[in-house]
Amino acid sequence: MKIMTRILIILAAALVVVGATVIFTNSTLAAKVMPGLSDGHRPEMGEFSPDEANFSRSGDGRPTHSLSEDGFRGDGRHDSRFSLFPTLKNLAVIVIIILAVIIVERLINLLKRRTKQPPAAPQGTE
Amino acid sequence: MKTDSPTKKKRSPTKINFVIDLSIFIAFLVAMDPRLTGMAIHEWLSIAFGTAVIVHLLLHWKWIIATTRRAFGKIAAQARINYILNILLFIAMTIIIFTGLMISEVALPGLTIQLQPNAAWRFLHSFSADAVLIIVGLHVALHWKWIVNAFRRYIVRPVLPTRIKMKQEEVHA
Ligand code: HEM
Repeated sequence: MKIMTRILIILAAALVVVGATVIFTNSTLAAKVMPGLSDGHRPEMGEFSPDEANFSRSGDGRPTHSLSEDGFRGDGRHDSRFSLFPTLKNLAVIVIIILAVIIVERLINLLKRRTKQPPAAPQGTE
Repeated sequence: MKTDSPTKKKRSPTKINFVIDLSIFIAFLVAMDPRLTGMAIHEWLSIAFGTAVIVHLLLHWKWIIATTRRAFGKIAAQARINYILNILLFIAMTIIIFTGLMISEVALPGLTIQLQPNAAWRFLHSFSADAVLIIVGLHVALHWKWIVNAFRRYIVRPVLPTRIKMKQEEVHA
């Protein structure tokens, strides 16, 4: 029962986010933030024709917009060959962020230690 | 003094958290590259991923409640940053999964559910995916010490002694 209540709370929070997203996409602000999307254009992801904005579905429900061989729209963002490169690239982004945070943390600690000399006992970390 | 009875060995909650968090992380990396898996795996894996996120939140429920109560009072800067980051992560994750469902090409049509996909959902889907990548990086960075400790405890330590034993056996044979 307790778990069910918690799951419902999580789903309710998600629903609030979904509601806000729907309101945002229908707002005039969205047109400003995502220029060109209302007429179906997605500039930063390369080419795709305006009529794909509200693309139609075939009888079996699959979209009828033109897909490349691997089932993706050729939006020029990735090439269509099988490659681990995008995953490694994502992993590299995460590693760079981790390193940056660790370096900043160390620098802050160093500065703190320099500005106020603590008494003999070492500080406990979290 | 040992408190654990030898017959009923309690599973460590840290170990359960570690296994779930590691699975979520790997699933996220796989979901981030739909061309690697194909659309069907991308969509179904990501839907399962949503369930794993709920389990993750349930396992950290006490932390969520305690920090939410303290969040508006006086707390350490790092704890506040961590809290805000987690909220952003939840929001962005919800947007990815929701917009993913809106543009679904395999999973929902397969269940004969027809939605109205449009370019805005598509844009939000990849935009929030990029945002989550950065937030996940920061999230992992802020929990780095915990991750390193758990990795040592549950992966390095159990594997290393067996390796050493195997090498010793090889030498004796
Ligand atoms: C953890 C959750 C998810 C992540 C991290 C994620 C990530 C991504 C990424 C990075 C792309 C490529 C975007 C691009 O190249 O412009 C993509 C495309 C796509 N995703 Fe997801 N996704 C998730 C969940 C879902 C779900 C739940 C569904 C549907 C049930 C879905 C359906 C799609 C579809 C249909 C595309 C192709 C869009 C296109 O052709 O441009 N995704 N996703």
